[in-house]
Amino acid sequence: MKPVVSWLEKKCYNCIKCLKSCPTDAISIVNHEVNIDESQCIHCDVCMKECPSRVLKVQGAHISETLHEHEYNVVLIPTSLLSDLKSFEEFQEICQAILKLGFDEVEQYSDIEGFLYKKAIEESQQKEGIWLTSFCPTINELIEKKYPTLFDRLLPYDYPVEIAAKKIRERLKGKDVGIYSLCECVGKMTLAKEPFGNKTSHIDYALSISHVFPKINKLKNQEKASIQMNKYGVKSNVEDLFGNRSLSVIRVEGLNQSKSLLDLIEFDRIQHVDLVAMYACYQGCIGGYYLWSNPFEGCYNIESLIDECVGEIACLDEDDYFINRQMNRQEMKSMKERMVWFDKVNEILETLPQYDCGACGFANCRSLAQGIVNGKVDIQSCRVKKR
Amino acid sequence: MKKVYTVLKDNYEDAGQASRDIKMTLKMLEINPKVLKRISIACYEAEINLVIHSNGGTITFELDDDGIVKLSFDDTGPGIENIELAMTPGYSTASKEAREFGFGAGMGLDNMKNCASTFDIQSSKDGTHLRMTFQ
Ligand SMILES: Nc1ncnc2c1ncn2[C@@H]1O[C@H](COP(=O)(O)OP(=O)(O)O)[C@@H](O)[C@H]1O
Ligand code: SF4
Ligand code: SF4
Ligand SMILES: [Mg+2]
Repeated sequence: MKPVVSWLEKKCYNCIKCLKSCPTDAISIVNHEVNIDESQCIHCDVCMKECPSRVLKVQGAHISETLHEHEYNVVLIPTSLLSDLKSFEEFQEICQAILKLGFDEVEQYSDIEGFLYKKAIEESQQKEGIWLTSFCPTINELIEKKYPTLFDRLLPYDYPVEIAAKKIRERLKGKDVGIYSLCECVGKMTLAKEPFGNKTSHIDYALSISHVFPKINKLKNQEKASIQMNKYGVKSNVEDLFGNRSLSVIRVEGLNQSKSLLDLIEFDRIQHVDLVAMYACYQGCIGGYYLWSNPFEGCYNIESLIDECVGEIACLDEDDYFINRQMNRQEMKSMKERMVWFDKVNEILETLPQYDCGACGFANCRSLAQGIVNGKVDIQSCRVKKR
Repeated sequence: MKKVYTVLKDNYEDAGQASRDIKMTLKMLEINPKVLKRISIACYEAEINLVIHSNGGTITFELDDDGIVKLSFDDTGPGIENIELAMTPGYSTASKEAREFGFGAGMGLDNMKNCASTFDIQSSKDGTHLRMTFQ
């Protein structure tokens, strides 16, 4: 996959806020250049929010350049979009405006989310042990990269947006169809082929909501799209609404809370829970980076709209949603070689001040030591030691 | 590679720190996740036993060139009187205090035995010595 978060060097003044905030230490600054290690990045948006000069960005597709590439274009809209709106009519007006951007169809997938939400609860109660929902791409990447022992506890369900895209392909077989995913968060952007080169996806292009919002706003009028939403799908997008206290289901939001919980699960310390719904964002998907309003009010908006979500739930076969996720592990050296590397890192670490100040351009002294052993920089990079 | 950790009796606040460090080290070394899962669970259970049942002791973590992990738990008493009984799932002498912290389900030793590739326990009133290997 191509790098997702890119750095536009122009106005970066090497303030190191990004590398200090990254939850996976994926960022380093060498020779004044910000590098994001794609093998460590979980596409969480934290660095983008922290950057005071707003030079960390995710590039999406540009519809003016891509719409003509296919005969027929379908756009998938995220359920969390509802949280930005005050009434269901307004939601239908927004959907109509999105259509007018030049698409032939606007599709929703809350019916699929609703099905998987129910399926997750049901299946986790039947099967032994604790299960983790698999709807947040950032959480899935966190588990894969930092908690690999729990990778086999992720429910084997594909992403609802991906299932929706697959269904559209089946329905419009024989037609030259371009499928767009309108995204509320960075994590969801990474699923598409363009511009990220994610070959196996049925989604052709990723677009962020905020990117198209000004255009949608101009096109919006009284005309409404005849779109319906499913209330279970809507619920599954909101941290507060997922599950129910009478069931052994818990909801966790935010990366720090998710990490604490995953730590406990690794020690088998969570005994009475069958299902954990984790979200990287505050309040779940309605806290997505690209939604223009805020999750505080969004939560209220969604609750007041939920009764108008009368669309039917999807009925899926296992073939539709089942996915056999494989961990993306690189070619590994022998344990002996890895230990030699680790010992060298520790040896260098011993000579560093261990303040984890970040002034060297690495998130902490251990990352610097690793950078030195990997030949990226030399020990002169340490600003404290030099003095 | 070898690392030794000291574990204090009744130190609930730091209980699990050694296991956390061992887990982190093994993650950095990219050990097989399936093996790491067993190590994490067994190590944590044994560390907690040192805190809640023993007078305190040490944990020794060793890793050899073939990736085999050896964990040794050595405490200074009071020992386990009847090991067979202690190994029975559900058997526990955990104090009220320990139970309040969520420990003392009586599954620890049984769990460790199931997780480890080899499991050996010796005990007298001068101390309990537990060795486990994982591969
Ligand atoms: N290191 C130890 N020192 C003394 N007694 C121990 C030790 N480890 C275990 N035991 C005894 O064995 C029993 C069973 O241990 P375990 O299976 O871990 O269950 P639990 O810790 O929940 O009581 C304990 O209740 C305790 O009586
Ligand atoms: S946060 Fe990072 S990218 Fe942004 S200005 Fe500071 S160093 Fe540059
Ligand atoms: S998106 Fe998140 S994981 Fe990736 S570099 Fe930024 S802060 Fe780190
Ligand atoms: Mg125990």
